[in-house]
Amino acid sequence: MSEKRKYERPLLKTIEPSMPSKTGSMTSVSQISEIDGMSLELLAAKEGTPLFVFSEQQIRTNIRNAKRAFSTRYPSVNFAWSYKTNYISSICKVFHEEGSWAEVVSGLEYQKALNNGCDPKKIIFNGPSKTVEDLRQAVMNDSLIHIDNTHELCRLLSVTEELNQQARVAVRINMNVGTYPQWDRFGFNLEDGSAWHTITQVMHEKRLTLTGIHCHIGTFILSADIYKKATMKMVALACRLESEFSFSLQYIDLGGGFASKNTLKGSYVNGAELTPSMDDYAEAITSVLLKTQFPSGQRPMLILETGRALIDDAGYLLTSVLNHKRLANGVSNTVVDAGVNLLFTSFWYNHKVSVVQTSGSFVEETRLTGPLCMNIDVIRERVALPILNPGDLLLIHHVGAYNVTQWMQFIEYRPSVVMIADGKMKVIRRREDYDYVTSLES
Amino acid sequence: MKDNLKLFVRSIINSYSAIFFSRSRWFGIALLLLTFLYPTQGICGLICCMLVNAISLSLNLNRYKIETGLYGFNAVLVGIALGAIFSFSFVLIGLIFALSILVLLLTVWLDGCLQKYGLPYLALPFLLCLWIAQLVFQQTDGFAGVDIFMLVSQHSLSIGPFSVEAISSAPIWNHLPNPILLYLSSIGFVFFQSDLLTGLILSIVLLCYSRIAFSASFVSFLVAYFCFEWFGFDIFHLPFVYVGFNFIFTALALGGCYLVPSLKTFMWVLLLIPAQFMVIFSSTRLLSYFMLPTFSLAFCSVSILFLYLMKRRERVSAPYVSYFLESTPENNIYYHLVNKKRFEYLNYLPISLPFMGEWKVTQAYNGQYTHKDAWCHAHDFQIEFDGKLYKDNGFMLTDYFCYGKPVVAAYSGEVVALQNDVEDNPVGKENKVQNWGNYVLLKHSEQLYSLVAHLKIGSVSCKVGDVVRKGDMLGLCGNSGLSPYPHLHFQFQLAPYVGAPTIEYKLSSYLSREGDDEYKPSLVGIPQENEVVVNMSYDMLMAARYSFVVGTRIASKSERYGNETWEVCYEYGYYFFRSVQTGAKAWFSYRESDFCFQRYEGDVHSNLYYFFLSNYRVLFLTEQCELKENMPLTLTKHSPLGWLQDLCAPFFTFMNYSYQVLPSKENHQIKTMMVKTVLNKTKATVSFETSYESNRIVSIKVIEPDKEPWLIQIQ
Repeated sequence: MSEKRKYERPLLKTIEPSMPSKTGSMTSVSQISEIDGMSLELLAAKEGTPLFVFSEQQIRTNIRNAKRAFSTRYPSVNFAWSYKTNYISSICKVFHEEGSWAEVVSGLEYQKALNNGCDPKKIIFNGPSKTVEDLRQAVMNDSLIHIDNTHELCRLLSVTEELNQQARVAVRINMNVGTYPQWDRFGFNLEDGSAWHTITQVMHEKRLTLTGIHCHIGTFILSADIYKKATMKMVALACRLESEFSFSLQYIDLGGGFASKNTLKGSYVNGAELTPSMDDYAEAITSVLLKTQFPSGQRPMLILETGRALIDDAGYLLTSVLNHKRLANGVSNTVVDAGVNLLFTSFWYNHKVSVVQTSGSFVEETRLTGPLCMNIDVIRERVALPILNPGDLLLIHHVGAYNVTQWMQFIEYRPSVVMIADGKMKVIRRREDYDYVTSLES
Repeated sequence: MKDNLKLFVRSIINSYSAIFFSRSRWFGIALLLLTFLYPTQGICGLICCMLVNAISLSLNLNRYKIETGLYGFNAVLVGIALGAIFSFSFVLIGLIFALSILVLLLTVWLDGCLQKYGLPYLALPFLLCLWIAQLVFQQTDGFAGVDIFMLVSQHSLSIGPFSVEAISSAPIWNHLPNPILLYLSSIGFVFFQSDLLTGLILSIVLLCYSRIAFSASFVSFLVAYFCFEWFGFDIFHLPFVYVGFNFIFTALALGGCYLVPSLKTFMWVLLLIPAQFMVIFSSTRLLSYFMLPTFSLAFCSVSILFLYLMKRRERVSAPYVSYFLESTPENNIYYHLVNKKRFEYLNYLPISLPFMGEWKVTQAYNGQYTHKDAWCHAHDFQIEFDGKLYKDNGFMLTDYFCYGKPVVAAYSGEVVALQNDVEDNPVGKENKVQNWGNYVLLKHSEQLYSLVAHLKIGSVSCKVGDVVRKGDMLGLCGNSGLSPYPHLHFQFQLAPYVGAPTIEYKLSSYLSREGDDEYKPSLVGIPQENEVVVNMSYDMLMAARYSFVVGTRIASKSERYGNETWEVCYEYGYYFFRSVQTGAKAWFSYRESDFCFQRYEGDVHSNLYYFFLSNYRVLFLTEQCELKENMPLTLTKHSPLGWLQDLCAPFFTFMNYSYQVLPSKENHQIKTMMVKTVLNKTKATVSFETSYESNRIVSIKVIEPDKEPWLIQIQ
């Protein structure tokens, strides 16, 4: 008995008798029915949709690839997992298992890192908003504190005085490396001298031990050369410290900002072809470090806080089609059960979408909108997809970074998050329910 | 003053044990008491020894040599000899005084002469002194015609009906075979007594002191005796008992003390017997003109000459010469067996891998592609990721993970030759004209050069004559020369020419990947094919925990052994902890990569001993890898099985003590254990947990089988 063929609603397509566009690419719809051997249909049946799916294998491959790229070019490299990118404990633990330190920017993240078993001495406390209590905890645990501003420095000094303890600190620095807009919100500016001023101040404080300098030149940086410039400026600063204070820094932290394979809105070219590889970034950074003759002869450790590039392609969002309708202007509109409440990044990326089940050969351009009763809830303005019926599954790619931290509990419950490890599915965060949402209300 | 007195007493006791090349205190006391079986001899020996040591001390001779009895033991022999020849009188005391000074002069002179060759003077000062005395006596009427061997008839100790003579001549001895009786008489002859009782007691004391020394001396004596009998050497009318002890002492000196006991050492002890006979017979003839006995000449001359020969060898092999005098032959062999492996890295310059990060050995020594014949000792390295050496289809050079990666100096050296202008081959093509492609040849020391080859064109960043340090960049991995795909070729050679034959040379301090997250540390070794290797990188914090400053004191406290203070000391180039309470010493070394204990001497019922056991070697890695090392068997307590092992030790060992570090990711604690095995079966395991707090060690937990765990706290 032959299988019943899938129903496809009729589709009218105008044929334009003009020259084919030279920039237009061939429309092909990718179909992905399993992740690491785990059937997505089964997953959806078991856990429901929407559903965040992470591949442990992909996470490990990413971090190992990054380590390979850097450690074969520079003798001492460490990665610090940027908690804000994705702080679901199971995911952080995978990074810690692979030897990553932790980079946190709030008391909540600090607590998470401690609970994830991260050695407190390997937690880097960043961010512009450390409270006195945060500082107190970090000093007591001998964590690394990256100073963001002068008020914070004063607060830290009074905390070390109060506890009568030493604190290991680094100074966060911002600089002009030719990017627009220049990231000058965090840390002390290099060009106007405030960075050096703060460094000298730290050097003269008895209770502070300067361990490193830190910069973070921006986010989703699509040019590796910019890192070269940043590294040169940081290295020059380290050398100045060595020559003026005879003091060697333990590390230079170049932050993160490496782009993932996502496609930015407005970009003609597919992100996967545009973004530099980890090797490109590594080459740019380490070539400067290796060429530098540090006066002490000791090369400082290199710390990287890359987040997005390590996790984005390991996360997927599985969603199902709710409805289909045609708008007044004739544009096709598909409504799915995951919206911008779960996919904050859809505001700046054109996420790749693929189908899960076998589909017909016809494709139509459709708008992909979420379940929210809000006009802004658009996941893709235009995406070519096969003819879909309600209940069909779609897989949204490269959603590992920022979404499960920046998601909103708005109208809907936040869904489950699962991780595929060794061919098995593990729920790493349960779906919210009515009690959870109302538990804090009085 | 109190220290001097202590040293003086120790020097006297050690002077007795030093006769048998020992430093054991109880052995010395036993020998001292034994000499008093003939009270005159005992007193003379003691006086002579006290005089010499006292003079040496007051003249500020080397305190270490005085303390260990090296200046005193010849004096003991001279004193005993005088006591054997003369009856007790004031003349004798005068003689002792005169000869004491003479023997000290001779000892210091011979020490100075032979020390620069690293040779011992053995009983030479005594022998010379004895001859001088003999010649003097022959000139003096009162002593004319004295034959030393005819005068061994001193009054011995007697208690009631028991006297040494009576016991020695009891009929019970007749049941023993002749060679054994001869052995007993001969060994006693060292104290100028050939009675059986002295011999028997001395043999038993010797057996208790060292099984190896006893068995070597016994076997050597028996073989010499049978040679003497079978080959009819007695045509010279020389009683064997007068010269037999030569073979015993040669066996003691070479078979357990100056050489490491082994089958080969034992064979050489036997092979030297005929040579000793030659010396004995010829010197007897020669010395007969002056009416002098040959005495221990054969032992002294043959032993010293053989040791000289051992030191003239161009390469080290069995039989091995001992680094320094151990307290017993057992210590000598057990420490040797362990240290040969444990400190193998000291034989090599600490050369690391010439790259950063993890690379895979794609061709090792005697490889299947190009590492053949004179160039067989070479390594090829590539980077592997996810089971592949390249990304995409590998048609482009840039697809290869290793292509363009930095190649660094494996060790400091001078750039003696380089090439930088050979084009990189496309994938699959080889340049058979310029085999080596772009290369850098470094000189690390005389006759040690290393070569990295097939570098990327134009990437070599040093010049001929540059002095580079370990880790400095030399160039980038490329595909020039005889290289169909990008890889790094690395080899060592003796000559400063490209294309010179390669040599085997071990690399230091690297890790090899054993699994996803596991590494095996190699302190020294040769990477094998398909091994994924990476240079060790060190944890400063771990290193800080083990950096002990000389002169500081560390307080330890445990329920079992109470309070104990360890002082960090430095002497003659070695670091050690000294227990203030017990005087026990634990020698250690501290390097960039690890802390390790080298040896332990003294009271084993102490906190220090357990510190030694628990931290036998600690690598300064962020994550502890599994590490296994053997421990010397001298740490065992005496047991019948232990004695059996001692007897067999030169030939094989069936007992084993091993130390293990268990792999752990924890940063504030390491787990180690000590496992005792007999015939590869685990007999006992003691586990240790060393805990840290920031940059110091705070406690060691000892978990022994069937016992409550106990804790040593360290401040």
